[in-house]
Amino acid sequence: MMRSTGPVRRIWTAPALIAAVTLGSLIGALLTEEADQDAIAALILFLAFAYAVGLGLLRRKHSPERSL
Amino acid sequence: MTAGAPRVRTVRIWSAIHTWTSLLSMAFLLMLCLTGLPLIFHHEIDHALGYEPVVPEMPAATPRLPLDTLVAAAEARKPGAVVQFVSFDKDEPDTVLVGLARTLQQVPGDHFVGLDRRTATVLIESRPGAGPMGFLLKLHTDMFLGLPGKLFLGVMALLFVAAIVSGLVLYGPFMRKLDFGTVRHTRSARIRWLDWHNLIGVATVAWALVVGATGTINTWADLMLALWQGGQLAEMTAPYRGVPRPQTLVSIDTAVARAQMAAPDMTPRLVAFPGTAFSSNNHYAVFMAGKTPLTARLLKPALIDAETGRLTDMRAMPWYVQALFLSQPLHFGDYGGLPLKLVWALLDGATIVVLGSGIYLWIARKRSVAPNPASAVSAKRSSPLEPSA
Repeated sequence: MMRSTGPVRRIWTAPALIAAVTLGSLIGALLTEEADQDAIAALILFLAFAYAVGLGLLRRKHSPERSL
Repeated sequence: MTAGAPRVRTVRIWSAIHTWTSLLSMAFLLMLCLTGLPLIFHHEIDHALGYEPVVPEMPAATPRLPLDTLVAAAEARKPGAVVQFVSFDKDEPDTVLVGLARTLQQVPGDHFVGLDRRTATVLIESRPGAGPMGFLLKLHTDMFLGLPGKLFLGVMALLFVAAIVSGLVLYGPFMRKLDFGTVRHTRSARIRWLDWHNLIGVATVAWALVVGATGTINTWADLMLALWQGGQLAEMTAPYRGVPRPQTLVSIDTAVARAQMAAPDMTPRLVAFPGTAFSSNNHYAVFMAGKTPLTARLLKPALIDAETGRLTDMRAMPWYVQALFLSQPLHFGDYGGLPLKLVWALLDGATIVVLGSGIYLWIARKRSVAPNPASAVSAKRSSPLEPSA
């Protein structure tokens, strides 16, 4: 029987994207010498983190009970 | 037995791993995060406190003095001491740092003299571990316990990595019925903090893994260098084994020029003097580095016969030493400009929040289990996916 990929995708898409962006920024900043490229990497890293924290602050209406 | 029982058992095991790896390493991780925070800005803080040389402005074409003159100027500051190394700062090409000690083999050295390469003026005199940043770095790297302290912190860093991996495994089951980023503000404080713990934890997971893994590698630095000394360096200097140190050494300028000739696309980063731990009795070891951001971090030693000035060997360092060199900037986050350092500090702060909330969740769960037998039974029957740390 095939398992549905829906929940897996829903749970892991955002964390995987944030992790990929984080790693890309860290390595990009290590490989670049230009200060502005370095600052762009820092900005992307910051935005990825700010997106997650922003969701935590704003996504307050959906509070389903867990029934695990 | 239900179909979900094996899954529940697996989650319980991962939950126990997450709890105990976190609890065992918690105090040390908090110390590392707190001491690591100012260390991100060590250049700025050292500069503000006067622990970094201030290089005077001079015309760009001002010629540099021979290295032998600079070494002699450094020796004059510390009569009776011997020069162990000369190092060059790629960001401050007009300065040079000379390391001195009572003996050639003493590790670490006990006196640094920073000089202006154009005037031989002494810009700074220092010793290893000087100043607030030196104190914090020592606390951060070995807790003033030397190699045992380093290796112990390496084990703590490995526990941190295990806590992150187990937390990631638990994240999926926790989030089965929640959208990414949901924090249940209307529920109890414990649930709210559980959601924040999961959210901030998963948002910083890649950064925390990089810092945790590179931190572990850094704690093995002494072992890796000892392995290199006993392996590649011993092999490179084997023909000279048992030969005494020459009475007269060739000029350090000659040694550097010879290394530069052998690797014209590289620049010297450090020169270890004959008889020191990073060379042999008969060689200057000139450590060359590339010019790109990546290769500038990878050193390649050129061994120059200290009696004749002849290049005897030049090899790339082994992969494990290269991995160590690359892991250092990724651990301290000091390889970029101020924006990257600020984000690094933010993520460090976020990790402190994850650690603190983990402790809170563990205590809150303990309290909820403790009061009476009935609640203990209900707690035992509660979901294994409830957080325990």
